[in-house]
Order: sequence, then C-alpha cells, then structure tokens
Amino acid sequence: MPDPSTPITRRRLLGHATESFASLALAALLAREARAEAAAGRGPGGLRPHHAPRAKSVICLYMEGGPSQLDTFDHKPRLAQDHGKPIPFRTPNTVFNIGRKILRSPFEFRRHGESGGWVSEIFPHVARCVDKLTVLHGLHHGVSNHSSACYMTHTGHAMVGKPSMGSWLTYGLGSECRDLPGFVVLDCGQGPSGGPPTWGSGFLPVAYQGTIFTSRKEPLDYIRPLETSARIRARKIATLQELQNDSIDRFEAHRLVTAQVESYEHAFRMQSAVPDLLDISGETAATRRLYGLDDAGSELFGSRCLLARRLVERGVRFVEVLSPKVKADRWDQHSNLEEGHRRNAALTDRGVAGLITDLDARGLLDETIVLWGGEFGRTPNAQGKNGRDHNPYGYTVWVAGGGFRPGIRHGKTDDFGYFAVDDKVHLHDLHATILHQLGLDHTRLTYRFSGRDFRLTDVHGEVIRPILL
Amino acid sequence: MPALIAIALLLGSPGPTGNGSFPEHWAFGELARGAAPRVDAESWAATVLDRFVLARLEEKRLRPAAAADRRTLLRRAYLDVTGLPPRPDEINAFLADDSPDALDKVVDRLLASPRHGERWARHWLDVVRYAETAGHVTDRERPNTWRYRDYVIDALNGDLPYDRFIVEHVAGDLLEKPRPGPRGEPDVSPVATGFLWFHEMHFRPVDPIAQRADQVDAQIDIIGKAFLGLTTACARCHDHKFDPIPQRDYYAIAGILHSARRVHTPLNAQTEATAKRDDAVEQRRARIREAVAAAARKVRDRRSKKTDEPLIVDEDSFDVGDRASLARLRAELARLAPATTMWAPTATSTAGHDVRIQIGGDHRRPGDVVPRGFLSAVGRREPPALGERSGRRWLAEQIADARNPLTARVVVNRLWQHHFGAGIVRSPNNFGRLGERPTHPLLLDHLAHDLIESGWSLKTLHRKILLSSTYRMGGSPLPGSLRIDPQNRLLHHMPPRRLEAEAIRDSILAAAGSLDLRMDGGSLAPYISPNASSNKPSNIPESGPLDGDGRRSVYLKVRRNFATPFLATFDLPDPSSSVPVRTVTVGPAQSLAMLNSPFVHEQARRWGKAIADTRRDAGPESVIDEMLETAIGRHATERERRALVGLLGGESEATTAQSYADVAHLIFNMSELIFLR
Repeated sequence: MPDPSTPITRRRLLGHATESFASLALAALLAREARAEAAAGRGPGGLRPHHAPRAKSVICLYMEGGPSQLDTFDHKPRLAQDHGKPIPFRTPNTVFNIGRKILRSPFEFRRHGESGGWVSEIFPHVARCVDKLTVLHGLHHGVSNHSSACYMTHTGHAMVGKPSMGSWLTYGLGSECRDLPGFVVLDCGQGPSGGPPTWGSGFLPVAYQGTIFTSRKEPLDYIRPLETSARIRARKIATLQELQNDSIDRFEAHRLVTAQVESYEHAFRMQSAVPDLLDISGETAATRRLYGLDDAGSELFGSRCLLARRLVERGVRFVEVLSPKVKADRWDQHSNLEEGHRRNAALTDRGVAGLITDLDARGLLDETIVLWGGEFGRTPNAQGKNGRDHNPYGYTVWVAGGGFRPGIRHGKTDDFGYFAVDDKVHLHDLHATILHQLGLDHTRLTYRFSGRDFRLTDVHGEVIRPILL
Repeated sequence: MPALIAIALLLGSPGPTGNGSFPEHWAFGELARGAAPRVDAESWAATVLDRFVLARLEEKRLRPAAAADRRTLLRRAYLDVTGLPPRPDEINAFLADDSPDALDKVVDRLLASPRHGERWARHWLDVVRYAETAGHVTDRERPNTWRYRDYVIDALNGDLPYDRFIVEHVAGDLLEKPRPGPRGEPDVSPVATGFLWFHEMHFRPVDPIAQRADQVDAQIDIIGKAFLGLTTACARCHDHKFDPIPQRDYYAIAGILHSARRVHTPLNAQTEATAKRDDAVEQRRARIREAVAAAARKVRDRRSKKTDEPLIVDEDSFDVGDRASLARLRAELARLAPATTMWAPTATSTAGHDVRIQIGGDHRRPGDVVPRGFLSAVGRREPPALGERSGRRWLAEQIADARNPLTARVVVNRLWQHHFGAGIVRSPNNFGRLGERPTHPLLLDHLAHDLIESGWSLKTLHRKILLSSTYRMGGSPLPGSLRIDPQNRLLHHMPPRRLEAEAIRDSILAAAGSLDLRMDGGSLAPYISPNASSNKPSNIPESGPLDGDGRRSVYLKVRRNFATPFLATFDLPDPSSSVPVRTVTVGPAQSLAMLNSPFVHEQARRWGKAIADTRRDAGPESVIDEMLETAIGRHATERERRALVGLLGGESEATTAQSYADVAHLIFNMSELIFLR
C-alpha cells in the first residue's frame, strides 16, 4: 500500500532544499522510494495488524511520581467524614510504612459536563473535557517502588530491560511517518524514575527504542550538520553517494549494506523534518492560547503537548510526554499534598485540555489514544501530617479518543479509595486494550528471546470490552 | 546416544510427554566421538574441521565459495581476533610473505596480542550482562566492578583453561590453589565471582524476602545460560515445561547460592602503613572530585541563565581561581604514593543450608525442603554431605566436569559463533528443546572433544578455526547455493557482517591515530549527551571526555541509565539481560551519528591535520590510498580516488588539513568501515 504521506514529504523536502543535505540526496531518494513503497505495508518487525485498527497513534501523558486518585478524579466523601480516624481495614506494607490515620482531600470536587464526571478543583480546564474522557478507577498492579512501577507501567514487567509499549507498537506496526522516529519521548527536564530504560527497546532491536526530544533548542543529538559551509557539505554528500554506489556493488547488494546506504537518505529526511516539526510559527494565536503558551507556568508542558499533536499529525506512532520539572517533587507528595498537587496540576492542566480539544477539533482524536496517568496512586491514610504514600492497589488513569467510549467511568475503589473492588483493571488489561485498538492482538504480538516468546502483557491481560465503542 | 540419532528421535516428538518424562534431547547426550567424515573434495579440506563442514555441504550438493583474497582475509582475521584493523605496514608485510605459513604466523601473533583479550572479553561481558551501576532511579555506582572486566581480559590473554575459568566464576573464593594475577595479586580467582551480582537491584524493596529470591534467581539464570546453555530459571515456579529440569533441581541449586554474600575483598595484603596511605589518597581524590563538581556547577549556573547550553562543562571553562586550586590538589595527589590496595567485589559464604521449594515461585507458599544439589539430568554424582559448607565449590566442579556434555558444547559454540557470525547452535544460551538444533552436530562434538583434550585451551580452538579452509572462504556464494540453503546454515560462504559498536568506534580511533592502548584500571566515565534525560539533574553523572581519552571501548564504564550514546546507536546491548547474540540494525540514527556526531568530526579533524602535517609532499592520490588502507584495508578504486581527490584542492595549510578531514569523514561513512567481508 503506498504511503499517503509521501507526496507531502517530498514537497516539504523541496521547501528545505537550500538548508539541508536533503535536496542533494533527493534524486537518489525519489528513485529508490519507488522500490521502498513496493515493499511497504508491513511494520519493520515484519508484522501486519491482526485486525482492522480503530486508532493509529498513542499519546501517553505520563505523570511521574504518582498523582493521587483521591485528589483528582476519584471522589471519596468518606475521607472527609472519617478524617483523622484510623482506616478500618488491614493495609499492605507501603514504602514508608506510614500510620493509619485517614487524610481528607484538601480539594473541592464537582461534577462536570453532561456525563457528570467528578473532577477536583485543581483541573479546571481538564474538567471541561470530561465528556471526552474514559475514566478508569480500578487500576492496580501491586508494585510499590517508583522505578519498578514505572517499568511495569511502560513495559508490563516490574523489572528493567523489557521493551516499552511504544517499542512494541513500532515493532508491530512500524510508523506512518518515515521522516521521524516512530516512538518519540518529549522531555520537560525531568525524566521518569526508571531512567532511559523506561522507553528502551529491551531485547527488541534498538531501532524501536524511544527517541528523546528534550526541550533544548537542539532537542536531539546528531540532527544538525556540523559543516560550516553549505557548499562543502553539498560536495561531501555528492562524493559520499559516489562512494556508496561502489559499496553496494562491492557487497553484491547485500541486504544489510543496501539498507545502510538507504538509511542515509532517511537520515537526510530526518534532518529537515525535525526543524520543520519544531517550527510552530504557523500555529495560530488561538491554538497557542489553547495550549497555555501565553502563560509562563503552563508554557513548558503546553508546548510539549502541541508538539505531540504535530507528531501524531505526521503519523508518528507513539508519543510520550513526560510531566514537567517543578520546584519540589513531581507528583510524589509524601508531604505537602495540597501545595504539590496544586502546582503540578497548574503546570499541566491547560496543556492536557488543549491537546484533547485541539485533537478533537482537527478530527484527530478519533484515531489517537490519549492516555493520562502515573505509575500508581496514593494512600487514603496520611503520611506525616499532610502527605500520602504510594498506592498501587487502586488508582485512576483516564483515556480519551481512539475508539474508547467517552464520558464514562469504569471500575471502582472501596469507600476510602484504597483497593480496586469492581471492574478492576490490571495494567496488563489496559496494555492489551490499547494494542487491540491499534489492530494488534496482545497474545500474538510476540518476540522470541532467551528461550521463550515474550509479550507486552507477559502471560496476562484481557481486552476491556465495555469501555470500547 | 549419538547426537544425530537423538535429533531424529526429537523430530518425531515436539513436546514433553504427558507423564512428565522427557525423550532424550541431543544436548544431554554424551559427546559423539566420530571419525572425520569422508569427503569428495579432499584437497579443499585443509583441516579435520573442514571435513565436517564439507561433508554437510556435499550432502546437499553444495560447494564452498572461493577463498577470500589476502587483503580481505587479513582484515577479517584482525578485526575478528583483536577488534582492530591491520595497519598498512602489517598489510604489506603479509602481502609480501609468500611462505606457506604466512597466515599461521599472523594468527599466532594476533592470538598472542593483548588486544585479543580486550576484544573477546566484550563478547563474554554481553553474556554475563556486565554493568557497573545498579540502575533504577539513582543508577548508583558499583565500585571496582571493572576488576572483573580486567579479570576476563587477562584470563583470555593468558589462555586460562576454561574449566578453571568456570570454577573461579562460581567458587573462586573457595579454592585451595591460588592463582596469582598479572599485577602482583597473590590470587585473582575470587574476582570472577563478582559476576554473580551483575543483575539489577531494586530501590527500597517493600518485600526483602522476595528481593533475595529474585537475586538468587538471577544467579541461577545466568549460571544456567552462560555455562550450560539452559534456561534453568524457568523451573522457579514449576517444572521446566520443555527441558528435564524439575522444580526440585532449581531449589537444590538455590540452596547452594542462598549462602553466598557479596563482599569487597582486598586482593593484596594490606599493612597498616599502606592502609593509611590509601586513606589519604582516597581523601585527596574525593576532594578533587568535589572541587571539579563545584567548579562545574558554578559555570553551569551562570550559563543556564543566559543560554540553552549543554550541561557538560569542561575544565577549560572553569574560573581561573578554580583551575589553579584544582592544579594544586592534583599536584598534592601526585606527590603521594599511589593507592596500593586492590579492592574487588567477590563472593563469600555464610553457613550453608537447604531451602524449601516455593510453590509457584512465591515465598509465601513454602513447599518441601530440597537437599542441595545440581541438575539431575546432568549431574552424575550424588551430592556429598555438605553440612555447614555451602556446596558452591562442588556445584562449580559439576558444571566444569568434562563428563557434563553441555559445558564444552556451549563454549565451543560461542567461539564458532563469533568467528562465523552464527553458532553451530544458533541459540547459544539455549541448548534445550526450545533452542535451535545444531547445524553440524558431529562437528560440535568433535571440537568439544578437542577442547577438553587440549586442557580446555580456548586459544588452541581459536587457532584451529582461524586456519581452516572454512574460515578462509570468501563472501560470495557460488551460483545456486543460496537457492538450496538461503540462510547459509551449512556455511557455503562467509557472510558479510556488521561490526559491533566497539569495533566501529575503535576502528575510527585507530584510523585517526587517536587510539590509546593503555590497558586496565578504573573505567572511563562515558560521554553524556546534553540531551541526556534523568529524574533530576543530580542523577545525571558528570560527562566523560567526548573521545573517551582514545581508550578502547571495552574500558568505557557501562552505565545502565547512560550508555555511551555513540555505542548505543550501534546496538550496544542493554545489560539487563544476558545477550548471547547482539541484534544488528542499520538505520538513520546510525547514519546521523556518522554524519553529525561531534566525536566522528573530531576524529576526522585530527586525522586530517596529521595527514596535512606529515604528508605534505606526497601526491594526493597516494595519500588517499594510504588513508583508505589505514581505515578499510585496501587502496581506492579509480572512481573512489577521483571522487575523493575532488574534495582536495585547498591552498593554505589550514584548508589542506580541512580537506583531508573531509576525506577522513567520508571514509568513516563508507560501508566498509562498519561491514566486514
């Protein structure tokens, strides 16, 4: 199947003709592209979708540290009633083995939209999108440490070294964008606790690992040519192409060598695609406002969200946006819950809401899954005076778009919001459901390593049918 | 049972039988001892090994490819054995040597070169998932882990018998006979046991008992895969589903390992005087580290207000005052005698005890106590009464026992794999039923016997392989061969392969004349990209120099969270699991690294300048030939020469250096720099 984005790509390339290597490689590129297109239609892992996909891309808004379900979306009036009393059931060990006293939420909750979903006061903008959200209250996985839970959330295993969800998806489906990496991570100066292995490809080839774009002016390595003169650069490229023709002959068109030579053309395309991606001068003032770029507090995360839209617009398969760096500790409020959560929410609220609104307005929300959540939630009992410890037994994430049923809540925690009790959703189930929406059967997306077939969902996972359209 | 018959049996029975018994699988059968097979093309088969390969080819009416030309062969042998390309003088000496044993001489020299251990140690480090940090949030350092890296390099260079190598890995702290090291260590055997702790560690475990069980599991897993080619750890929760490894065997081994603890051990004797001196040295070092960090912080704080500059600050940009005080501290350090204690993480044992089966691998569901022991399908002796002893020494001997058919097969296969790009068994860590079957079972057993009879000398085996006709084949299959055997499983030609990340980086350094061949010592901090990401900036380590001081890649520190970016681009494996076969990718990230990485540009600049300085009077054609020969082992074709000469033509010295740098940069981007024929 020919790639529909190709003609646009060529025009973009021509637009950058004066600035990059690309124009010089163009002739060769156009000739070879015909061949590449004939071979297209498969993911680089050699797979095809197992069934008709409902969504094309995923944007994961990863809230590092563990936002509290009890102070955002899972409204529990019992906490206010029983504030200060001991929690009336056995609780598991936590990281800091905290006391039993119940802590009420410092925030007001209100119902919003036609669906009447509860949202706390710290998310006034997201609250307006609540009719588009599928809120899952019954998440659980039981892994209490940040880094292990971070790996669990991303790779389906609580240990380091397994492929991230974005790696699995690009391995299985490839990317519809040939000029940019298929799996992009947008960093705001604070990586996740699992470090770079969080978006590692594990045992899958390194080509499927996430590529970090930092918020620096030059957001990734090796994109900018270092030659000082465009004329010299042009001569070097022309010469390189001559040398490469000889190489292909010398290796008798060996598969890997041919692929290597062709990867230079891909590289030239990336060199012009990245500046084009980052150049938001074409975005209207209204769009910038929508993402909160007019406000110093929300600008950093908002600009990442805007970039996420620009990436999925270009066909990038998986985008992860990391939550921004703030003064204190990310969403990890072991103390000063009120202050910390307020600040984290303020930094992200407009960007998140802007992204959903904008994707929807552009007709992209249907084919894009937006996933919001952290590695776990927090305990209803207090840590110290005014904090909460980690809780991986019952917490909330939400999904929007991509064929998920909007405006519903699924699953329930107990009256205190500690344990998931009804319609529990394990992370494996959520992973299975996301793969399902992208056309992949999680039991068949496998990779043979170390004597067995590995999956994102290990040996678990069930697609959560009731939350799908 | 001869391996071939075992395979024939297997073909008819795809899974374990219902009653829990296993039909005998080839890998558990005794080593076959067969005569070298008869072949038609006698004259091609220079060695016994070749007859085994040729016989399989002839069965399928295949013929071996024509031999590689001498330049190709020399470059192949150099990169294969030492990981570095031959220098032009070495090429010319070989081409000029028309004695019949010209190649023998080269092979002997390469195997005797210290570069050999540096190259092949890295293959082994992949298997044992070598890393020098603990990963997770802080990626904390594990000090002195590099002693293990040096241990492996020394062991390979000294041709340490492989059975001793195994025993030292599992029980090097428990041996009576010490093995002195090359740096004056009275006994280096215990250093090998450090490998038992290369697995990841959790931060603040909520369930310490489960964490301990995970550690032991990681040890069982790596011992099984590395030495026996078995996925033993699959039997943690239930009997192994495909191989004859009952859950009892797993907990029998777990009992042995449960009493092993990790300690820091001084490898040499420490007197009161040396201890005091070492303390003083360490204190000075710490002060220097702090001073560097503080000075860098100062610069960084100032800069970050104005620009978007990278986090890395080199010492040239420190304040004058800071530079002076640093120099003072370093001079003080230099005046002190060097630290003399050589610390290494090693194993030690507490009182041995048997452990219970954990039903479903869950320590909260204890089952029967299992006496300590080894794999029942492999071990031949009853475990002795161990009492308070851990049994680790006994376990080590079981693994290294020549009567254990897996051990020799597994290591022979690893050597074969790296010489030919694929093993005789293409799943080197899994000789079990889910693994691949050997393409040349009789050859595998023949070489295994040879290895044991040579006193487990790996160098003898290397030599045999390197001097075979099979190894000398060229890269072009004869017409029709690929139709009959498209995957080249029977070896009808020598397939081209992409070099490993380390060989690529080392080749660039060698060509540019930047290579520093100093061996051993603490690892070099890897270069950290300004785009490195972390949970918080303080978790990002100080960057090492861009060029790693020109040291070979094996000496760069392996950080779990901050792999050296250039190496990672070329498929450096993630040290979280044992990687017996690296994945090979080609892609735009690699091309971009070669085109735009400051490291590659810097090396091209150095090389260009050296050429401009020293070869000013030579004609451009001959200089280009020389440069190509240095990097890829051959002269330029007419077309290449024309194309590259076209880049020259500067008039001043500076422009000449720059044009030669451009030529160097393009040579680094040629396919032959990273592909071996």
